[in-house]
Amino acid sequence: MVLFYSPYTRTTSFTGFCQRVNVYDSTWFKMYINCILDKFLYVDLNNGQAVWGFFPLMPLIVSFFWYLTGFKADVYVVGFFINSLFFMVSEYFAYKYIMLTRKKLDVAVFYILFMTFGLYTFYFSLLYSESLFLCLLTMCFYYLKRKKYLTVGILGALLSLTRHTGVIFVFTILVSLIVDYKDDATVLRKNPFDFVLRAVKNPHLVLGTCLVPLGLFSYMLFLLNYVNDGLAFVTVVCTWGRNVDNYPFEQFFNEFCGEFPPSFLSVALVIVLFIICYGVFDGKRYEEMIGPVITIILCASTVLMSVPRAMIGCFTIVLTFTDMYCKLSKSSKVFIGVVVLLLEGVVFREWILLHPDLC
Amino acid sequence: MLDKKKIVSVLMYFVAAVLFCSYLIILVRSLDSSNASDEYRMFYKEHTLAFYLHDDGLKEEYCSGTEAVYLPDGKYRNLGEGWGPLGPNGIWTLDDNSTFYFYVDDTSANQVITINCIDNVGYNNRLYVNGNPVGDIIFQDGVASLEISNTFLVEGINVFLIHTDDDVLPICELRSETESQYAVNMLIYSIKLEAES
Repeated sequence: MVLFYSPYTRTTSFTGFCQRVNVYDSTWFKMYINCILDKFLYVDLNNGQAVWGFFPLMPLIVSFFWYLTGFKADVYVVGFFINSLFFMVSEYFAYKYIMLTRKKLDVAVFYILFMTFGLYTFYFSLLYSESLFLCLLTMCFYYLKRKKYLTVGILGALLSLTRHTGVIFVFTILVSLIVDYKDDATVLRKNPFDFVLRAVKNPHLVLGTCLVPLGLFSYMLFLLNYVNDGLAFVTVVCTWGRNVDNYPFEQFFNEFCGEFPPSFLSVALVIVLFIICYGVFDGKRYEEMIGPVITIILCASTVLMSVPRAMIGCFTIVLTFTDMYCKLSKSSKVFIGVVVLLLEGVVFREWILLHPDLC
Repeated sequence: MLDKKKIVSVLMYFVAAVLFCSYLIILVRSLDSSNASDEYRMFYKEHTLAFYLHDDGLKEEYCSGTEAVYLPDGKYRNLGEGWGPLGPNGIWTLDDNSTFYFYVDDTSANQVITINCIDNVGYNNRLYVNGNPVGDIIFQDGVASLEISNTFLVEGINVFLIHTDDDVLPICELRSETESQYAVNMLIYSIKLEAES
């Protein structure tokens, strides 16, 4: 990628490339890292945008490693390597999860290929929280399948400290429990009361589930003490020109019916909804789809444009797409693979040229 | 061995209960942002302050006795709704309502407000303080002064409103030399609030 896009960045140095591709929210995360080291949370006096709109775990980790380099390396380069490492860990746990749930090596291989070379995957090497979130999320799914609830809790707490949407994993745990209960042949008389009783009787499950929101609420407690507003990360969103009280379905409707031919975002949303429907009705993987559904509703309440990127980063959408992909004929696979690769090239080019509409 | 397992289980339930209760407390406290500073609430929550101002900013920088100068390098952060962008000579009020704020810590004395105006379209404007009518804003050589009774003032942040009952039209319909669609009223250079001497 560095070599392919050198003509656009007009630089041949790796540090220069990192600095050029790290734009938009990357600059805020860089500011956050400086704030952690200066012990002062920055607010832009021109418009009130503040670093506390972002969650602290990724900046904390990168600032630690940047400190270890003696601040000699560029922070974007440090972020590149740290986030790439998280991404590789996420690929490893995704492989383990796929072999546990699907037992199909081709699905695992194609998933890794799509996540490495597919759409929006450049985000996983930038100074964004996508990589860390994906890493923790895949680990949560894997250990949830292994029923290691305390491990899920600890990872979930870190997940909700990476992004507030990490707390959604509580619903994934709930749906997973319901599915397991429904499929449990040893339970003769299934009813909600019996389900709740069995769940509550498992202390690992109870504590693990209660641990997941710990990251989010810890950050809320910090904000309560710093600005006297525990929901400051939601409050500050308005300074980026976003409302938090949009009606999601109204946003969807406007996007689909707003223009003809349909926009890239409309097409992406249709594809995502199709994948979710496949995952629910054909794959019956309800616990894998609940997270994306809630994430879409939350994203649509603020800005719809972030939905495609959020879906790539929530693991199970690309996984379900890979399930569908592996059932296709060889020629269809080649065609779709080439299209995805070309689209990633286009999207990344638009990113480099600072045209964020597709990103 | 069984007792140890039971103790660990009880401990887990206890920690889960503590976490759950903590979440509820944090959530309830977060839903009530009345402890946030006035500037934070006005800017982020109510959107009644046009520019970001640090905590106690109105008290420290826009107190009675200070002059707000509406230039890009001046003091302009006490504005609310109904203002245009900052320009090289001042700032236009827009439409029929424009609010601004001053902090008053001593309400025992009357205050005098002085408005310096560079340009004026010619509408009839009236000044209100905390909802109370003070008087008509009439300029002489670009300066208008009004006395504000201390009974209209409150200790703390006071809301000033410039209001006109006239229909404020886009400036391009009144002045042929401009194509601007802004419905401007007055181009204000500065506003000063001070205790009556």
